[in-house]
Amino acid sequence: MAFAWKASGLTQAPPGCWLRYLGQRLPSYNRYLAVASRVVRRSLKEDLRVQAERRGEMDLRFAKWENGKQGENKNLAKANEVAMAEHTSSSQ
Amino acid sequence: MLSRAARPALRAGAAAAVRPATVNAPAATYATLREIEDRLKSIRNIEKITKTMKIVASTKLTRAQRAMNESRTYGKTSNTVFEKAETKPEEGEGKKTLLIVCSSDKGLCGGIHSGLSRKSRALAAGQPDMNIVVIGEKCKAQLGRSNAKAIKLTFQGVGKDVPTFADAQAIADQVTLIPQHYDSVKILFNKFVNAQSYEPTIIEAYSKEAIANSPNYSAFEIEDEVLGNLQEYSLANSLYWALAEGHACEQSARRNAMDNASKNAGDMISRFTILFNRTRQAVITGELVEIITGATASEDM
Repeated sequence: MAFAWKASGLTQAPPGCWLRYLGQRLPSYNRYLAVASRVVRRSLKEDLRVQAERRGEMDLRFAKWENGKQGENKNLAKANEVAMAEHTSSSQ
Repeated sequence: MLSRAARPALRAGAAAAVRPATVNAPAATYATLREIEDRLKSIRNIEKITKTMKIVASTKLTRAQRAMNESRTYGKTSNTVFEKAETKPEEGEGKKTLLIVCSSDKGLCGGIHSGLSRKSRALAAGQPDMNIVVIGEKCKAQLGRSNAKAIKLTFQGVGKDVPTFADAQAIADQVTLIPQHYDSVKILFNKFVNAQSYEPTIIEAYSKEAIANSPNYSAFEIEDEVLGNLQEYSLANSLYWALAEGHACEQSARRNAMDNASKNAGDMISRFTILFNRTRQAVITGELVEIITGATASEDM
């Protein structure tokens, strides 16, 4: 069934999806979309790829706040990967 | 005869401080003359800077507007589902609300950031247990002073370029990772009305429960398992819309602000040029009067 990967707490791409064969583990739909779009962008022809990859750039930083105090500034992309990895290992 | 008599007077005039009798008046004018000149120079420099910034903002504005129109389609299309399903936000007693404020890192663009801050303060005053996520340094600084306790997350690095969907996705991901359940998520951004005006607006990103409770929900035959995906995806869509529209507003506001600044600088330059010329003429007249008076006096003797 489509999207069963998400609802059952499974963190794999939908069955039948090619991402599954890559062994990608995806805890959120947005992550799934991000990975899928990244792969599509990278497989474009050279001239189109340069243009398209600019749309995929993300250079944000973020900070968590506790009780009115700002926490440490972290790179969002890295933090997302780490968080997703934790999520994956805990739900397995 | 006159010219000879004039020379020492001129030289004395240049070194005004040497002459104790007239020290105050000429010394003052000479000083102001130089001051005016310096002032003029610095205003001209500022005008150059604001003009350049205006041009930069104008070029960025066209791109930002294109991105905004595209993102509007995203957001509106994704919201059609909720309109048709007649989804209502879950509000009321004991319901947790999350406010996502979409500003940016850069200033020098008029009051658009403070407009957002004011609106979010007003909202926070109405709902004391509301939590806030701030995107962008400017609103972070402003809300960090007044509503620091409510802030959960802040994001930096927005507004350098046209926001991408990857930005929105990453933010949405991090927002869903907050270990608190929210019944309603509101996204606050500047709505682009036209090139001159914008207004702080809210779009609703519905929670799973809100979607499931909407009256026409059954018509869509959404399976419960997919609901989370829909919710996450629509959050990212709405965020993208809000970011792109806010970016366009910021560029147009910056363009306007810089346009006004250049105009003001132009006004000041013309005023100071007139003042400068008048003062210069006054100084020359004063010198001539001194010379002639000196000459006539020495002829009598």
